Amino acid sequence: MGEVKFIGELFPDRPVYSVKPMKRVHYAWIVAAVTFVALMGAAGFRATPGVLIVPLEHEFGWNRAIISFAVFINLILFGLTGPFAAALMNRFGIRTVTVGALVTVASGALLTTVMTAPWQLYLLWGVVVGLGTGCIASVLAATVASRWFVQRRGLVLGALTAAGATGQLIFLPFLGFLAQNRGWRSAAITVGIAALVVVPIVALFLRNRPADLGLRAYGATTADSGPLSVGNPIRNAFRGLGLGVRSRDFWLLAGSFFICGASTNGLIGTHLIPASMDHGMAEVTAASLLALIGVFDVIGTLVSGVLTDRFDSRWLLFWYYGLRGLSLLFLPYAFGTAYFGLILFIVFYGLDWVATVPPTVQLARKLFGQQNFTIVYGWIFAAHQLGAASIALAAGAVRTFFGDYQLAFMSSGLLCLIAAGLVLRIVRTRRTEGPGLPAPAEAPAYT
Amino acid sequence: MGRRLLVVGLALALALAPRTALAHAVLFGSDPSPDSVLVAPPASVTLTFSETVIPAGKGITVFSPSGRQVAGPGRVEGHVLTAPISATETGTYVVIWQALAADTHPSRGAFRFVVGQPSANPYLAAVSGGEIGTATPLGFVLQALARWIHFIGMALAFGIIAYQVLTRPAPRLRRLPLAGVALLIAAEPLALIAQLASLSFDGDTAIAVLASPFGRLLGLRLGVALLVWALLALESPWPVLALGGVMALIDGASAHAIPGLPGAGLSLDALHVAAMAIWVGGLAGFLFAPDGRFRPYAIGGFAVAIGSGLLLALAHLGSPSDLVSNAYGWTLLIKAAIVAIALASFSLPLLRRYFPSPSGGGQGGGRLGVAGIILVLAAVLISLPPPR
Repeated sequence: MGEVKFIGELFPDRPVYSVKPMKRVHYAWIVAAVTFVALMGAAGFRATPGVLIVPLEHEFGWNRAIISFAVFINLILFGLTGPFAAALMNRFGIRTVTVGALVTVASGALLTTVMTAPWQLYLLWGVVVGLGTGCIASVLAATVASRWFVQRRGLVLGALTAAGATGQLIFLPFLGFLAQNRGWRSAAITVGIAALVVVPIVALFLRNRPADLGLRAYGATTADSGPLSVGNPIRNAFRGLGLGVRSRDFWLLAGSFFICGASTNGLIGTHLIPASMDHGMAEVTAASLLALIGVFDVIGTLVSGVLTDRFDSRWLLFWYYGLRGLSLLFLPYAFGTAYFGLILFIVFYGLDWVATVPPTVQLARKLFGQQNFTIVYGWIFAAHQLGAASIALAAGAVRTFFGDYQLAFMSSGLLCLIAAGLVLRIVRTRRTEGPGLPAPAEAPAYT
Repeated sequence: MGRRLLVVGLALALALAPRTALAHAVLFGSDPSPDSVLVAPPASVTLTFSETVIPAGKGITVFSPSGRQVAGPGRVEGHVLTAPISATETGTYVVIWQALAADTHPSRGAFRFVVGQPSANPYLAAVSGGEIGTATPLGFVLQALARWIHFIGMALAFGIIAYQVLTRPAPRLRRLPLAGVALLIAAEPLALIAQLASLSFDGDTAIAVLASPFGRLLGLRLGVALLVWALLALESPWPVLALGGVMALIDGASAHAIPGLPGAGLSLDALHVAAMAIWVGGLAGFLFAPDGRFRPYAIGGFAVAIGSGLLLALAHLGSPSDLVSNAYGWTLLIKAAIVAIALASFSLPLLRRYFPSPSGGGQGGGRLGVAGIILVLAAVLISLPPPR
């Protein structure tokens, strides 16, 4: 079927049919692997402030609010960087942007070791590391998967998304151990050095697009002819936003992704441990519950990627949000029934923690076209982070005012059911296409 | 494959759905008992109920003769609610309690006891305060209203869809199920307000109510309503109709139990509600898009509703005299009378001649009005405690 699997196709004048050519791995897999490493690292760097909170309090006497504010800046910038990172990648290429981001993260992390005042923390952990990690995030995964893969695109997207969870699972205990036993500076230095170690790997092996090597994307029948975009990347990022906001489907996707962020990172990520402790569970047990969610998250995201290659993304998202909503509605019952119910919750919930990413990226690509969608997806991802930040605050307030999380869990469950309804309404009605909005690649087949 | 998965998912949700034992909590006895005279203030107040209860908010409050609140935080153990007291005054004490039964119906009450000689107590008025059943008048009215809106929502959301399955798809009926979902959603905050009106409007009570089975059922009903909204995006009516079944079962779970036969009460009530939805929703559908094919289904739905309603009435009435001896009986009697008149007017061709309407539209409107009145009475019935 014209699949490009042989390096021999690089030289079309040489006959490759006479001898069975040595099967080589398609370069797309190497790009995916390098991206996986970079994404895993970035997730680890992002997790670091959580480890640093207590040691920084001890050394500088800063209160929790100061450190939380730096984390807050970090989160906001991490979310908002997405569309601009996508525009930069379109303009200057994936490799340049990723190398730049890694160097930024490394300098931010290393400079914290000599800081003396809170504003330096805001600047370094908040601004510098936030911007740097924001460039090595979901948007990078979406860009690499869509440029390098036609077949197995969903699988690659799932794996790259799972890299984030894997990174946190690996880095967090390790950095925690370092911070506890060798001082927080050793943790920061480790992060800086790790980022610098990845730099040459990325510079050597990451390539912007298959055409740079005279290849086609994995499983592609035609060569990808997209050149680098021109113009000011920042203006391009806002142009992407303009493209999005005129589309009803953008709001449906962004709205459901807002709820996704709210019901994962925002609610469970922040509040499951305290809520479990409210119900008389030891902190270690509660924390291991969260880790267990992480494990199921990796499994669920990989499976979701495979499913995205096969099934209608809207149906997948409907099921993810629907099941997540139901498991949140049942969570109050789960707290009542010893461990069995809670385990059941963790399995269901963990499986679709970020399983929503591959179908959402896929839908964005179909709706907004291969050339532009990464920027639009960047904005959709920003909505995700906004949801996470706002519900984390809201759930905390509910806890403070009412003394119980049940209300927060149940309303998040209901929000997820709304998201399930939003995604089913994507590309249902005929509408006039906005300028520059290509027609959906696949006509909706609804019965 | 989506539809098959959906059915499995719904079955799973149903299997996981919590089941509750159902009845109204009645105060069996207390220590000190109402109107008793003691020589010294007791160390605690203990209330024993007819069934497992959840304290709503503080659960027990005790006011000393000077009007000071002297009860500590209450504890619940199955049927028994206890709160410690630290008081030394002599005179009349007032105990006010509020609790939720397992079926989420609120109860509250007040009584007094005397230490030494009777005295004044600023809260004495609470002891003689009037109550309908176990709810306050405002709470009762709001609760019935919330139920009524819920029933109409059921009829519009599911009955209209069923009508189109039984006859044919009608574009004119497109928006009615959405309106039904809106009513289903709107009924829930109203039900919460009604519950608080029957207890007390404070943060503690609100949390206790939301954390109780009432709050969970409220969440489930909202969840089903939102899922219906989600699935209305599809062309296929079956997922929505399946959710209609789930909603009827949830209604069954929050209705009066039949003593000794909890499963029977749930399923009979679910059947009753589902038949109502098909009949009333169908009438509404007929009004906007008349189709003669609906007639046998209307008769069938009406018949099933009457049959299950009769069984429920038999189960809830201890003896025929209950029909005229309390509010539940009276309401049931009026409802039965209206249903009988409706039945007669639908079936007697003689009467039909007096309401000529070739298109069936005017007739449908009249029937819909009658159905609306029957639903009001049903909403009142479900908010009243049955004699049995």
